[in-house]
Amino acid sequence: MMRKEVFKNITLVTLIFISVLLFSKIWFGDNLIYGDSFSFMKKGGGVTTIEVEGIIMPKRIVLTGNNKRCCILKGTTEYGNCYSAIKDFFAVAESETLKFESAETTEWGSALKSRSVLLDYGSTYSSSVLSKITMTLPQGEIKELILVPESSVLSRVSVYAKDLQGGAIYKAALPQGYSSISGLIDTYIVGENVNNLPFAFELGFDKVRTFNEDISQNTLLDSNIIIGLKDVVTPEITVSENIKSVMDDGNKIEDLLSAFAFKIGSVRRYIEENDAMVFVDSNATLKVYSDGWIEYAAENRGIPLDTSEDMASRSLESMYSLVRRTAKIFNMPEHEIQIYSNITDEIYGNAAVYMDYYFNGVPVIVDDNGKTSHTISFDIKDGMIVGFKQYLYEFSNTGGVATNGSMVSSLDSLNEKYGNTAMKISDMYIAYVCKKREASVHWCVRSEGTDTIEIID
Amino acid sequence: MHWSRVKTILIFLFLALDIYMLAYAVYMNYDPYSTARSEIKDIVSIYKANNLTVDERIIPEKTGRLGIVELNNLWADKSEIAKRFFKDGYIRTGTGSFSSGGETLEFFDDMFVYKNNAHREGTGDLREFLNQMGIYTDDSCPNGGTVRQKIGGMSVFETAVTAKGGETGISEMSGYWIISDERNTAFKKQVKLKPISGVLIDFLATDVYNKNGDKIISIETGYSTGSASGDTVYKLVSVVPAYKITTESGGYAVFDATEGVLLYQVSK
Repeated sequence: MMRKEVFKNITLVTLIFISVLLFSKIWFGDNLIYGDSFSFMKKGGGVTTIEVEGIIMPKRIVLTGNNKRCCILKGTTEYGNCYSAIKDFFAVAESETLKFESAETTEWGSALKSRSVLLDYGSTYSSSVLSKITMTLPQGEIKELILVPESSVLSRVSVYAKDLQGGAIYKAALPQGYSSISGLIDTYIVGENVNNLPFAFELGFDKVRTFNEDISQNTLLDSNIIIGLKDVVTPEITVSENIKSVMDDGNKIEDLLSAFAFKIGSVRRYIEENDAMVFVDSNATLKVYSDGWIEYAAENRGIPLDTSEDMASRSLESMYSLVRRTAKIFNMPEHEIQIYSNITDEIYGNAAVYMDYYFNGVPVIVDDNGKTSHTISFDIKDGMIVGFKQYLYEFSNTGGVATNGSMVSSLDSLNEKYGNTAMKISDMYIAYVCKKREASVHWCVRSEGTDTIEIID
Repeated sequence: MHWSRVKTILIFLFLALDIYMLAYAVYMNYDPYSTARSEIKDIVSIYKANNLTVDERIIPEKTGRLGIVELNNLWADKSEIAKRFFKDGYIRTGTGSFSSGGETLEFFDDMFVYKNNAHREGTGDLREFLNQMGIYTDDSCPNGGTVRQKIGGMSVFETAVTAKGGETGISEMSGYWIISDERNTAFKKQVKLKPISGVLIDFLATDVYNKNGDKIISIETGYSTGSASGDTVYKLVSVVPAYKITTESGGYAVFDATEGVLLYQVSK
């Protein structure tokens, strides 16, 4: 009996010792699954439609009524409450399942001149994308919506949509919401007389006009551009970045590589003479420049866009997810971002998609040795992100202000530069232009049919 | 006293646990990346069908474990290299060129070229000459020759120095080298290298061999900077475990041994 117990004791101690040995070998041993790639969508990157709304909200909201007009830009203090009221309206409109019908093209201009709210989204969106943050819209490519409170008796609001693809105007009538939209107009149009903020079409700037043999108007503006007649005052800002401290952090580097779907175990790392850090694997190259930007280029596959369900929306969500994730890794504050490019189903194929940071309600662009760039850009090919660039800037107000001449005087400068060359301007706005991390304020124009921005000196 | 019964139960529990962990440890060490002899014979046949001959004895059956190595390149600064070559001082004659007396040092992208048109006292042994420059190598070359950079005894395929020398010293030297030392070198986690069989099949898709008839003369395992040039202009360089397959016609292809993908190919 005694010997049996001794034998048991020895056996038990031996087995415990063996299990400790085996456990430490397994725990500290090599992992067979080391170096798996992670889809950036799997690891804390997914965003929802609601979050993407932040980058496709209207770039400006123009309220007209009682002979006054007000233009509220995204990112300004009034914007939040104003947009919130409009969202509530759309929630009601969506619940009514309205039907859009064709309308006369002249109704669009009439609606703008009347008591109305113009929602200018800045870029063209397929109706499937815009419908997610507004209401069910007619099929097409849409950049603007107009809400017209038509009748206090019937409490009716008409919603106008213009399909830029086919050129058709559509209209739907919501049998409620009059007081909310009308009240919104009354709240905000306390400022300018409508004559001080005319639309281009109200002044005939959207059509070629010949005054005499020597004078003709060759520079045309998009009908809905608001012609500012006053000088523009903009807060001055400083630009900084936080790259170095992040790139010294090994955990951050791993997060960054995961975000771009690199296989961590087989990534090669280089540091260039200019201190840019370069990561290379068989599929792609990722460069982090100490000057404040990051650049990704795929040699082969790229990063797949999420294209389940409707392609344009899901592709946009994939892209915004990558932007957010990169910004988080570099400890950037959450900038206001706005899409610059048109978002249609074609972005899944081959497309360049641009986005801009906004600060103080003003877009930020970059002057890169004479070439203007957006702060975020994507190259898409066959449903894959094959190119990506993001400036990792932070902004703060200096307390000072910059004064730029009116839009009209800037147009004069543009005309002087181009002489009689015909131009059609689809957008004109004030922007912060960053050059070597110094920011200045300039008027910028976008020509119709291009993504190019021209800075007016 | 039930303690005896408890011990019996514990013995069985630990026995089961040990058997499970032993099986798992054996599974973890199982090498799925070895190449069977039958596979090697198949490769030889496939190569023959593509007018390529390869001696099966040079095809490695087993792969090892290596990891990426990061080296801080102390010589990305060209004037630093010039200081090491010309200990008595130098003149900068251009963006990438230096001279001292009858000696010149020039840089062409990643490569350096040294020429000694004056008689330089000293050794013609390339190893000694390199050691004086801070390039440490165990390979002896008493009358010049070529020295390959090695890490852990394995060659870095792109970095090597070739010199002409003799009793009057080194007259000419050129090449690529990544200068680092133990303190500035990081060895990443080792992984099992991909089996050579897949790489050899992918080799057939390259353009480095003569399609009318050629022969594989060597299959090496070593490290690669990832491009045919030495990448020595970088302050930090990563070298990845790699396979280099060389043909009799002079062409070669380098593959990333951790992923089995082609890094680059050089045709002659």
